[in-house]
Amino acid sequence: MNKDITKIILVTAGAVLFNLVFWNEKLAINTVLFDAFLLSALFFLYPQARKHASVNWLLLGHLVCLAMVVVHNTELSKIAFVITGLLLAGFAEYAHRSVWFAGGSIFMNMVMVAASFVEPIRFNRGPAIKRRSVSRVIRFAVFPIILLIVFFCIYLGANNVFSDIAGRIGAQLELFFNHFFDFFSWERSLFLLLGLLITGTILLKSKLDYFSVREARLHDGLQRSRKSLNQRKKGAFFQVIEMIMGRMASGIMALKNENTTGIISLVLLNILLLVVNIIDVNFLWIHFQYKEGEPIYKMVHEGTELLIVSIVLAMAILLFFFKGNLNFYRRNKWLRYGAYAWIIQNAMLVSSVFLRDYYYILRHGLAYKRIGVLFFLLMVLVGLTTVFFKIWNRKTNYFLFRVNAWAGIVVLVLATTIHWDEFIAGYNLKRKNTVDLDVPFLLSLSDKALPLIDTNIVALQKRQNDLQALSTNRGAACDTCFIELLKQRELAFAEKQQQFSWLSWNYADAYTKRYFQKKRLITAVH
Amino acid sequence: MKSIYIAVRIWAKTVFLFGVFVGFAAMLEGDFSDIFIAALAFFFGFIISLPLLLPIFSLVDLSKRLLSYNIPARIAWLTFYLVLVFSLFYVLVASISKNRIIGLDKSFVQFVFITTGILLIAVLTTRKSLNKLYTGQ
Repeated sequence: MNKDITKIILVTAGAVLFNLVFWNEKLAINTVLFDAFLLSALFFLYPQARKHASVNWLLLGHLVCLAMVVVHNTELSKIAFVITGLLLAGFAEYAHRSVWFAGGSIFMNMVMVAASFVEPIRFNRGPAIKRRSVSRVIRFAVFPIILLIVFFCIYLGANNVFSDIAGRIGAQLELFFNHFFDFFSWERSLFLLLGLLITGTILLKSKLDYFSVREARLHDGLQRSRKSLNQRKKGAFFQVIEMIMGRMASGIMALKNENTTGIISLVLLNILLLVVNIIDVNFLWIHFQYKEGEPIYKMVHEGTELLIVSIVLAMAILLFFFKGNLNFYRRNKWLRYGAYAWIIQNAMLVSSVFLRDYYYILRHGLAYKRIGVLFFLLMVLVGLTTVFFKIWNRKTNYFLFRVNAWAGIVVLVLATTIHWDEFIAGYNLKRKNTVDLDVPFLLSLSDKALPLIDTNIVALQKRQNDLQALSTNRGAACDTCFIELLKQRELAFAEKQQQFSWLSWNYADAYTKRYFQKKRLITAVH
Repeated sequence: MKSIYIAVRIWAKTVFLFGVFVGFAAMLEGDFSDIFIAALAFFFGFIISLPLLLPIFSLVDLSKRLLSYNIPARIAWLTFYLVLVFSLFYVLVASISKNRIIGLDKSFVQFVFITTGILLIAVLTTRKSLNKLYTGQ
């Protein structure tokens, strides 16, 4: 069969399958069915793809995410599943090494999906006369139809019998259309179009290979290139540099001047950061203690965001200085040493931010943002390491962004293997005597955490009441509030489960369901 | 053939056909006042949908540049994005008039399908001009 026609058939079949397995369902075991179809179709249409190592690694990551969708069914696993799936298609269809460019190509696929879908269809051009006659009929019909509407309205007002007959015909037509639309779901048709869009984006390669062409020109190793003043003037930062440095930015000594500015900047920044790090080492690393009466967030939490911004800004500064020929300047030794010191000091700052987060977790337990900070710090450490390699081995920014994006994908895939809500609940409940428990927050966690909370609910209620008793202005204590809240969650879960078929089966929901069924059985026996 | 000329034709045809459709629907309902409102909406539609000319022109001009695709593919691409633009415009107008952001309700889905049908007619009856634009005649 013609491959073009096969593409259209596969995309249409994919859209129908999408409609059948996902309509009014959640992403769960049905994802396996749809993904099996998509992957088979993808590797059938692009058989060369399996030969690339990046495709195989991405496939492995994607399958891990798929398994986690079925096992944990967390939002994170679903997001990671979608991202790895789209990237897999990008790498399979185009020659890419970077995740960013593959993402761009997939975006192009999405933008061009309508054209890519119609492109393979060979339109059978019938006789010209026939086509013209259809067009003529449409054109001839417009004016008479308007006249018909106008006179119909006049007779409707003038003749009662005519109005009565027209009314009855109208009522019958209305009845017919109402029945028709009851049978034919508009929403489901739109959902079918969404399926077509998703399947088309993944399976239909766009003819605009802008991103793969752009990436083919980029290399990991930095190459020295002589640039004329006019070429340099076209650079993104030249206007800014010239505004500050004046003539020193454009003369023969421009590179030397740039080097000197870089050294001075890095020396000053290193001294400033050294002061901050010494304070942190003294305050956080060696002599840290929770002060009585002072809220913990004031001591450790405030300023964490700013420190993170400063670390990211630090990397941007290094990229600015080592963006071009300064990498090859013979006397850049002190600039490089300054950069290495700056990287090491920033790594220390990362450790300090980590300690701040750690102390906060020790006192208040785990929460989404606190875990998010840990992941962010991990990514920053990877970023700092790659910046070091970039300067050490004279690599391009392309290398830096490529490696960091891959590291991001690895972290994302690994992060899906843990059910974070359950982990948070487990961690906090295990330390319920040492941690300030936020019971309403625990009760807002996803359904998989409910069994854990349920087994500890009485203790949680008691603890919350004790806390409320300590702080007098927080309202009266309640002995059953959280038990009621948990019951509501249980009911909502059971109600939600009734709406789904076997297509929405996943281990997390099955586990919660089994727990509550067992509990109900035990309660019934007693 | 200029892009702006084709954009104006597609826009005018769409608004006109939409007016006819609304009028026809009102006629089936059999309410005389509805027909009067439909007639008003028909003329008013030309005024409120005037800002759509800019995105329509941009889309027609962009479709001209998709040189690696054949003409039917370019027309399909143009129609798809025109439906998207008109749907977004509907969401905007309906949200302003109802003073809340409207979601994927039944009336929106019906609007999308009716617009798709009307735009298909509008674009297909402008096919000859689009052919000339794409082939540079």
